[in-house]
Amino acid sequence: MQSIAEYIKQHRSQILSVLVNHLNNWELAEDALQEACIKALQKWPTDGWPDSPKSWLLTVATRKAIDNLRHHKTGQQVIHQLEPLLSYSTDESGDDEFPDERLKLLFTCCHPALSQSAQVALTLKTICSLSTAEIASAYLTPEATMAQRLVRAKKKIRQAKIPYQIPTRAQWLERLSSVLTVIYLIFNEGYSASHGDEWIRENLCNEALDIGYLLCQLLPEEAEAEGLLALMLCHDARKNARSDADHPLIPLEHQNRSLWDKEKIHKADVLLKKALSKNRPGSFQIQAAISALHCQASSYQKTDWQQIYYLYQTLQQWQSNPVIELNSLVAYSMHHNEEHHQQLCLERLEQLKHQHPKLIDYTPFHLTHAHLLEKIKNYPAAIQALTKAHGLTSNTAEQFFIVQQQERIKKELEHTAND
Amino acid sequence: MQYMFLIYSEEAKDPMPGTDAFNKMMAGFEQLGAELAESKRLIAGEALNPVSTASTLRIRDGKTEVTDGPFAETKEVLGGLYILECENLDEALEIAAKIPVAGWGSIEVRPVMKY
Repeated sequence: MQSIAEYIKQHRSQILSVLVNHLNNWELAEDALQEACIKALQKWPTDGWPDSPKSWLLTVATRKAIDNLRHHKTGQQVIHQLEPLLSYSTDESGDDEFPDERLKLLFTCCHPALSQSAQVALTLKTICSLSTAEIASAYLTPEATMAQRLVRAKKKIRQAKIPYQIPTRAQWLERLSSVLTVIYLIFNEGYSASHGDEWIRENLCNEALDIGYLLCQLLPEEAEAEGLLALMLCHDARKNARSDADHPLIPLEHQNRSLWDKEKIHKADVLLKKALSKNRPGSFQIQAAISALHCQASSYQKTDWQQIYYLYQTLQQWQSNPVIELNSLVAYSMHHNEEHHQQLCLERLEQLKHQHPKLIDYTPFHLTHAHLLEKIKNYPAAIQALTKAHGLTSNTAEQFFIVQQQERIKKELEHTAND
Repeated sequence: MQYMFLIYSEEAKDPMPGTDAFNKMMAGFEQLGAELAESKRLIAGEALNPVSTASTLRIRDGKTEVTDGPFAETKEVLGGLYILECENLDEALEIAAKIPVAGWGSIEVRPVMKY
């Protein structure tokens, strides 16, 4: 049997989105729902659960909102709009009953007129029903700072009048991409394991997947929404192979592929095919295709590196950044084994460093450098590059992995010296 | 809801009168002006003389100081403004995207405070 708190968490965002849409006032809607939830926690254990808990919460919250509005000058008009909610009978099948309202709220949370950190926080708070303390802990931010960020965002929504609505056609692409980016940021924060409590990180991944599913259901025409979900599923499928008792971080190359979740990989594959059949390419679909190729390969060596290389080249037309170029170089070096190709990659890496001087402060840059140096058997330089990478990361799992790499290469070095 | 649209650009990048780019810009402003008049949104809309004509005044410790030029030395300077009645920020941003200068300068959209 579900606890009251679990029930509330599961349905909170649906009810909140209906209230926000009717009230047009975020704070008031949240306060009213909060009061209704407290009342449920007090009453249901003794009085028993109501027949329709969702209607109960919605009705009580609406009544609270009406009470609060009586003190407002302009309250009367809004009260009139709220009345239908008092007699609203909800569907208890557990389905999302207010998909449009939720979608409107999601677009509001991810509005580009809000800072990205505020978009993420608002989405986690409103759509995922995480508490401010949970969000703060996931982002290693003091709770007071996170609370202030949320208050400021809601204030901007009210003062600048950011609407609760599905964006118009003219704004659609920019706004959808903003939503997809926020979802992926949430997923990555959970997945990249840079900091924070284990449970919360896992939670973030699941929340991102949930919104991903929701979005695909609400926007069945959008190929990029399916692309994003497929991409997240591909990452998620490899979750259990990413670490074990002795290794806090196992890179793709050394993962035990039998631990990958075949069902998720299959799901991702189906989604991606569906997305690609729409002939509306985009960066999430390309990234998902790269990830799917990794998931389908029987080993690191037997991966279709050529196709991955071409996909990275295509991806650069959508979003140009040096990290994609680093990955593209690795794919190229894996596909072409002759030494002059590795030299070519090293030269390109050197060029990249000049174009983007900030790369030298970036761990993956030195890891890529080490990878290429190892391929041409320049072991001392590879060890040196790994030392640089080590100094740049504060992630203990990553540090541990780098030390292991170094030891492996040192053995290789002794081996060649002995021959 | 009223919003103020502050139109910023680098004057060096603004098209010169007599060029095609200038005519295109003016045509854009005319079309926008007609749309705004028809939809009854327009509360105010003005273009400003170049920033070289600006003077800035401050009073410090009871003393009035007037200096030549704008308040802040930035590349992008205020070149014009609108005050428009819009339903919400999305609508305001949609109009902002129609201001020709958005193509090389930037448009700051600020809600006007209500008392």
